[in-house]
Amino acid sequence: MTTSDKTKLISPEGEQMDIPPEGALGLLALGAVGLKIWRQARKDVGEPSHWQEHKEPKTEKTKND
Amino acid sequence: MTKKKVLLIGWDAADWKAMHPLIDSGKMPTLKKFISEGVMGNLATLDPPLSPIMWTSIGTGKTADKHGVMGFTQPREDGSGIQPVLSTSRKVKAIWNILMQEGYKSHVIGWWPSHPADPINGVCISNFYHHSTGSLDDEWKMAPGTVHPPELADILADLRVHPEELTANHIAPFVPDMAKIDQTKDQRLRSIAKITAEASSMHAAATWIMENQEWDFLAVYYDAIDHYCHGFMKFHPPYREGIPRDLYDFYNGVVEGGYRFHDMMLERLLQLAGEDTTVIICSDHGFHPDHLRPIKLPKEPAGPAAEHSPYGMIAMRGPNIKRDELIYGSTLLDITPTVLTMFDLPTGRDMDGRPLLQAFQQKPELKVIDSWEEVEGDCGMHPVGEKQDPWMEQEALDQLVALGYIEPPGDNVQKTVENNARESKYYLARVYLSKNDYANALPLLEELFDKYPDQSRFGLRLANVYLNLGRVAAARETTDKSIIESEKSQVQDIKDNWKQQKEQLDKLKQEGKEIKEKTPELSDDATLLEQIRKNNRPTMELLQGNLYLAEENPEKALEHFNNAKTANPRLPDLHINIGHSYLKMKQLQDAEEAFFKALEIDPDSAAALAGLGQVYIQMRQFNDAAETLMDSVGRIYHNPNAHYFLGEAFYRLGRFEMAAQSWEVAVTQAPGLRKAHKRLVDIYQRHLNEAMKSAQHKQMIDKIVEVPEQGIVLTDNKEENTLETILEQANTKKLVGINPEKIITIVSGLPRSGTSMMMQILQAGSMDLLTDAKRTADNNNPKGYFELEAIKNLGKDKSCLTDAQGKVVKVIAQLLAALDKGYHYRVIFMLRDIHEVLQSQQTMLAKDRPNNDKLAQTFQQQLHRIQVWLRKQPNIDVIYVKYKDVIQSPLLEIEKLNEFLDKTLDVQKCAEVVDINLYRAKVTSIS
Repeated sequence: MTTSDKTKLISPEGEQMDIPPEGALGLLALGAVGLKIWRQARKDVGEPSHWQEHKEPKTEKTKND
Repeated sequence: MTKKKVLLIGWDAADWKAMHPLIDSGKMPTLKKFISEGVMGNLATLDPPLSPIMWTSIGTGKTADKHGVMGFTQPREDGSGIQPVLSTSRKVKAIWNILMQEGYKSHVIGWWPSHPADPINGVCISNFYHHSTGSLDDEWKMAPGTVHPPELADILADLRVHPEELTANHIAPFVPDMAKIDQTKDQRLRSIAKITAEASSMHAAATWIMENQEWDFLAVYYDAIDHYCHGFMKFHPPYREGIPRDLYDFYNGVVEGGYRFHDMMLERLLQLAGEDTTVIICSDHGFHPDHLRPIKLPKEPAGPAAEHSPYGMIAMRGPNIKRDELIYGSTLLDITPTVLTMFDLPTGRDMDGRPLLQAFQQKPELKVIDSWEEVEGDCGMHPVGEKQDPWMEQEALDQLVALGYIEPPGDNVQKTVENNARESKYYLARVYLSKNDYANALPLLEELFDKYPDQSRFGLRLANVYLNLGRVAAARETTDKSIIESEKSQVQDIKDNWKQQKEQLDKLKQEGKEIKEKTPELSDDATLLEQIRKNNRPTMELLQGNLYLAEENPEKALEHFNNAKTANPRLPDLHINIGHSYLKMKQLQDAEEAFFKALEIDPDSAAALAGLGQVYIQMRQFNDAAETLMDSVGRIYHNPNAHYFLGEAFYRLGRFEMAAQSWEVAVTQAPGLRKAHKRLVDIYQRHLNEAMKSAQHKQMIDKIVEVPEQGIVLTDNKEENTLETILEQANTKKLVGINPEKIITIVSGLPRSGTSMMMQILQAGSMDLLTDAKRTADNNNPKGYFELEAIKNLGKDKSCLTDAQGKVVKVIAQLLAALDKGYHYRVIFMLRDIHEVLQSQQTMLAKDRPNNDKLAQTFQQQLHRIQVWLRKQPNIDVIYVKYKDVIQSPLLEIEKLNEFLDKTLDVQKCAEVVDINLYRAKVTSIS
């Protein structure tokens, strides 16, 4: 069984587990908690942490673009 | 006392046959532990096996003819096209509505269909929540109505996972060699990412609710297994000839990966639910993982459903649930009654399922009420005014368009809506067929086959209905016609494809491109027909055999079945039919062998087991018969004939109570099954000493009437629906102190309910009418229509109401909801017997439409909704005026009307215009 705090994942044995910024199915399977921890891990390494942060402002393209 | 909690987990398409090998090899450890602590079994699916229909049946305990969800799409209310099926199509309460009403806090996540989200006392997240559109750089909006309560929408929107967030880490467990795939040509990895991300979105939402909200009942639905299977089951081991080997090597682990992912998600759900929660996992249908996988899918809407197997799965674990046991005979209709029983609540007599009592350690007290629909109180459904039966709304809309009251939609839209209405009718017919309700299925299939003779699926099912009604000649004629039309259609398809292919090649040649392919040759029609007949031969032989079997000619039937066997020995149902032929010929060992052969092809075939049970009865091996028939009804519980023969086996074994019980089930499932009633009369009288019950079944036999066109009808089951009983109550006056010159007087009702007569009355009473006289008097309305053309467009443009203040204007009932809320209205609502209304409309349209009862029902439902809506409007006063009363007692009725209109009428002059000669469409048989 796995429990969590804000940014860390703790194993049943009390060991802190590494969260790969690339994610893992196991994190998704943890649901909201796993998703948040994974997004935090992405943020920690400077990757966009959330789908909303990928959004780039739309710039109008000219005909020459 | 521990608080009762129930978690219902929906895994669309989960199938034990696919999961058993994974459980046995330790690849689904959570489910393995779960079933060791609870019960498991098959969950018989329903026909048609379409997910929105079935998940609504799971959530309501009712079949689709009652719950109203009839497929994947529905027409838009304004007739402008179609849209995904909505929660507002559901006509009955779901389990979460009932539980809310009883004070339990419920949450529902992703149920299909659940958009717009039900306004329940917990959180409801609709099935629109997780669908990702566009790329990661686009704005990912959430449709209004996706989340209830709306204040949680932002939090929950953030928990959605976009497919482009996923990385190789997420996909590699499904496709280890993913790096070798050229993704510019093969989009399957994207598909896996989408399915996985969407499942993760639902799971994140469900777990967030479990972590942050109180709950008594939570239902969460995952569609991913179905999607992994539809995309990748063809690559699932074992390898089959015809599947590209390279694709098989890449994708053979996707289905397994999907199941393992769900096992991991299950672990988290169980952790959050805790040990004291009763947890139910179920699927709506299975998905063939083995040799029963179809090679080709039928070319028809919802054709992929051919990959579904008839057995879904159920597993349950909880404080009062047996441990490590199998349960039998469950159907997906049983889930809602079972959950109600878990909460000590009664089930509804109008539900088609029953509680799965065999799963409980201590059998709960079984409570029953007539219907939860009659129980008053806020249940978190959408307001009545918003509810609708979209298909019949569409039909009603078509009628209104034909009558000239509403503008018709454009051609393409019409075609789209027509196609969807066609499929909906077909699904409804299949629902009736699955309940052995041939009387209701028959007119639908006749209408469909008449309109679309090239669609053999309609003709063949119609022929099946005729066979069941004993109309063998009609069945043969329909089968023959169906085959001819289908062959014509296939010839045309080949020619169209050839033409298209040739045009493409010619175009490439014109562009100067080098073409290696030769222009294909097109054979003449006769050769094409010969080829088609050769390909179709096994199916055709099977059909012919079935007809001879129904004609009690088993020898001739066998000839055709053997021809079919030569062409395709593994044709579904073939060996079952061979078995029944031998059974009729009393060649019992041959029959036994045929049913064994059918079981060799599909070991789960309930029909083959039922046939084998009949063979054992004939062989006087009654123990084997009882065991085999119990196995059959344990797989598909809804099979009245199997229950009947099980009763026979028990009877011969001297187990009279069990026999009576089986026959009781048979007559419950097939009301009017005369042979079962006869056996019950006998057994209650001679063996069980229950004279009263015997007499009751005798009475039932007397009530059975075999109507040639409808099959069996129980004579006391008919109810007459008349409009007279619906709208009796008018509301009290609300428009006190309003300047009459600002009030708009509206004459309303269904078309042909006497609205034009009322306009004449008001004109005679010196009221100012707002009409444009564009629609002139005719034979149907010799004194004129008194209409305003612009009113037809009220939904889009309300400006015509500006001129209506202080005047009278005619607005048909269906357009009342479009009135501008900024004005005050007095509505004179005309009531007329619905059958008279329809008769008058048909006369006007000079056509005879089938299914008038259904149209009548729809109009009545519409009127009921409008009445409820009117009652709630603070700016509208209403008086209901019965057309018949005006004709019979004009002075009295107009006096009442005068009171309503603040005594502005000259009653005598008004009464003079009532012309009894115009009362032409009378329904005299209805009082």
